[in-house]
Amino acid sequence: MARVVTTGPAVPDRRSWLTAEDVAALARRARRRETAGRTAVYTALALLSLPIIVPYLWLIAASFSRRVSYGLLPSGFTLDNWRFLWVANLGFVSGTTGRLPNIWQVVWNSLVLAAGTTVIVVVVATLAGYFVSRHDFRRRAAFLKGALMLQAFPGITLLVALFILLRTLNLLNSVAGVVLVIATLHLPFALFVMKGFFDGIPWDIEMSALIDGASRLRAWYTVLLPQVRNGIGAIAMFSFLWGWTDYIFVLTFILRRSSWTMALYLNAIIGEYRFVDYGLMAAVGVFYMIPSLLFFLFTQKHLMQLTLGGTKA
Amino acid sequence: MARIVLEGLTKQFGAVTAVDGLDLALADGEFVALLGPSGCGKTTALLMLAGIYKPTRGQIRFNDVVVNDLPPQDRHIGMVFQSYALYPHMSVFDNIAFPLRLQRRPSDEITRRVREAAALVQIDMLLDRRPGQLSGGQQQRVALARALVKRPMMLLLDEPLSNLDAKLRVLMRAEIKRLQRQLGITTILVTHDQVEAMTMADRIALLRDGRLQQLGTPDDLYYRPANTFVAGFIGTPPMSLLTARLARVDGRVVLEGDGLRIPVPADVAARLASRTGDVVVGLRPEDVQLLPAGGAGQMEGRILDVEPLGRELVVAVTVGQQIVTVLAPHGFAGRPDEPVAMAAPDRRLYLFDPDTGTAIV
Amino acid sequence: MTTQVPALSVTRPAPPRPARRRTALVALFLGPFVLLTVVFFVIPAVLTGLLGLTDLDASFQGGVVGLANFRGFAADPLLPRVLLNTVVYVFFTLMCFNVGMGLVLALMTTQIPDRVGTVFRAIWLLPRLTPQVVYALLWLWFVDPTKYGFLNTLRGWLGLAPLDLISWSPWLVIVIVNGLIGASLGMVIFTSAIKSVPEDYIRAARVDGASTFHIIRYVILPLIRWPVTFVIVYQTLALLTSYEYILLVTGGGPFYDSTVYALYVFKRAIENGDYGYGAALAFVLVLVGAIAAQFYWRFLNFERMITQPKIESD
Repeated sequence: MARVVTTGPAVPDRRSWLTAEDVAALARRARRRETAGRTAVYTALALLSLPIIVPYLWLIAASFSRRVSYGLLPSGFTLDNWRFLWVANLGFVSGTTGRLPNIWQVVWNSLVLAAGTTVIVVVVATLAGYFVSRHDFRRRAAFLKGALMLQAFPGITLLVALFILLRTLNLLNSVAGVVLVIATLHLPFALFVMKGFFDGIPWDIEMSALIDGASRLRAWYTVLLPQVRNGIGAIAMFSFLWGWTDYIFVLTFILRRSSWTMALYLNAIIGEYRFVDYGLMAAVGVFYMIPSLLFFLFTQKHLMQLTLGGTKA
Repeated sequence: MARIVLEGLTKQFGAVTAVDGLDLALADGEFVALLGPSGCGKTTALLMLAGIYKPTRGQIRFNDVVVNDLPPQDRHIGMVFQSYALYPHMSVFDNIAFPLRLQRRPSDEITRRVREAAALVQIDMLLDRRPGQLSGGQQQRVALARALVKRPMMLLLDEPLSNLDAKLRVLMRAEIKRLQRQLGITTILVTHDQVEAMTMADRIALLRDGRLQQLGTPDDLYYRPANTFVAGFIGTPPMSLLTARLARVDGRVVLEGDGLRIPVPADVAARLASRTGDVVVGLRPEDVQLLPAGGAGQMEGRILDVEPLGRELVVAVTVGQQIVTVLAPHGFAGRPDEPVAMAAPDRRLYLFDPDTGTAIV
Repeated sequence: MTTQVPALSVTRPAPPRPARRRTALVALFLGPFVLLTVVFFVIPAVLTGLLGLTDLDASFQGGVVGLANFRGFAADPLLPRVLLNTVVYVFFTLMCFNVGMGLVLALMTTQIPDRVGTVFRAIWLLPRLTPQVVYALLWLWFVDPTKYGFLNTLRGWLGLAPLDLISWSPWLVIVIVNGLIGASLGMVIFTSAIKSVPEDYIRAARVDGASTFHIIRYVILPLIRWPVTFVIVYQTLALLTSYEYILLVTGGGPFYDSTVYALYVFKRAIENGDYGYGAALAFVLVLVGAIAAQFYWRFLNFERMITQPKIESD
């Protein structure tokens, strides 16, 4: 078969190919580089992650230890640190003449705060998210733009004004006031999450429900809601944690000790027992952390799937 | 020199065997197509050649040297991906120059060679553009230039034409073929389109489910298919495959079935020896003749459908429970449900074993 | 063939006048949202500005003083230091941790098998998911100036005297405390971006002769420029307005050495009770936040979020 070969610059190199020794050497080099690289990465990651893991391990261990020797290694298993769960009077709040409130009162307050936030955020955001997703109305674009701006806006800057506002509304010192503030500040984010979920439901499903004779409201309730279960689940979990873990708002708005939440309780314990009883501090810390840990363990996979676009050239 | 040998090449992904014992030898400068339906393992084989996948078993040899463990960057190959994979953030010039920059060539050499490669594929005026500003055909040329600029010893093409529209495809087919001839570079093309393979390649390796069905020139595969799969895959419209019974009447061998009675030529009959039973008969549409109305033919049936293609018509005829496809010249006036008779070719009867599908010669 | 027409139009009672029903629907679905956000979001924003014009104090007495508070910024002896703290804090936390460490972690965890990478990423997410007070507790244990603190225990092993890290370098402490939290957001976003780089680009680069380092430098990094920019912009605002961890761990001290602007607002307004002056300070942040929100809108092209609704306006 005749082959046309032009002499000239674009002829592929005709130098002799690599020998078997060359190939073996190159293969060895590649393998060495790969192993070295992987070892380096693993070492670096381990070194970077150790400082994070160690304190948490210490926390759990310290909560069950009588003594913490060398500031690091716990020794002497005990449940005494957990006495805050059953001792009625744990002591005074340093710097005041008031006593530390009972832990179960505090847990209750925290639960009310977390659950209250969850209920408000889920209900309000789902209702609004559905409506914005499915309906057109006169100021829809303006509404969405406003919500977007609110979402980007740092709500924490409004602390002072909120303080004055809550006082005017007589909502200071109550968990209800904090619930309203936390819920509202997170509403824009929740709105867009729910809107996103509703946007993803094909119109046909709702259409067939309407044809079957349901009113709009009924269609919404029986057909649409189950579809967005995941979205509701997600914002419910987030809301619960926002309420459970909040510090700055409860610090600023709740002054009455009997309305304290876990954050303030732990804060007081730290102040009271900081250099005296690390074990107790640790135990309260672990106790406080339980819902967060559960959330962490159960949502591992989903946290990793946060997408935000990538290769826009 | 770039001789390539695949020996017993196998790739398994967990429980799935993508490539199974592939044997292939390419001479220097040869253009071979890996052809087959999706999932047949052709791209996997190509990626093993490139070094991106490691073979589970078997060997890949470049010029008699085993390269299984050689990483892609050291293999001196050029590859064009189906998506072209042009770096979107780099200009065309930088895309083509990339392999040379990695080799730390002096910049005047880089400029010269990039321009040469661009001239080779006729995109000299596009060097300042970004890939996003180019058409599909232009992008492909850039991908080719990038593959060729480092003067590789072989060129790997993964479905290079599948993203192009029909007209462009015909154009680029000729382009690539011309380029390959001009450079004399050993080339392997992966495609699912048999027309591409037939028109471009010196030899075709047809794969199915990871196994090689047949290796040969386009003519080999067309006129001497090794089994029913090859026979049915190559050729448009595809060959009709019918089941018939071998009968011996008066010392002659006849293929008998519902609506058909085809005598077998003496030399073929001789090679059939004492074979009896069912057999698969292959008939190419262009070899079957439609007889004028009323004629008695070796096959009789009813017209199922007539597809006009302008210059000719494709007629599907039911013979018994089976369907025969025939190419009829323009002017054929038959209609669905009309009875019709056909003559089978004397010289072009393809016979296959009904159980294994292999050709019976 | 016959079709069954649903008997809707026959049995349903005449619908109420569209306009009224429309408004009722809007009120039901959007009402709560609008009410809550106006009362607890919009009004406080406006209120901040108004309060800034007064000299309201802890006993809730005071009157309008015009722009006196704002003019008072120049005379505030603490403000220069606070501003310096803020600049240092935002810059170094952002560059070293939120973006820097986030990138490093994302790049490293995507070079190893995904199951292992996920474990490391999970570890780095732990600080962010821990309640703030608990995280602070761990830090307080670490920086405990007595010999029982973790750092000082380590120093003790090395034969060194105990050190009060917060006094020694308040900036270092607040940067690292917030950095460990901040890195995880960048890490998650960058990981996702890196994973979405099409495999073909990586393969093409390998065939072109690129090593892993080359691939990171010439292919991956350029292709994740947008998420990196997003994180920089988004986290700058977040850092400017965050202060809980600083409050919990250093209290802004020693003295005001680690007090950033947002914390200064808190201290003046809530701790000292200068509501008027504190609101004025806060108003600057409110303005910055409002401008940034506008900026996000244009820059990030969120137009596409406002896609057309499914139901025609009825």
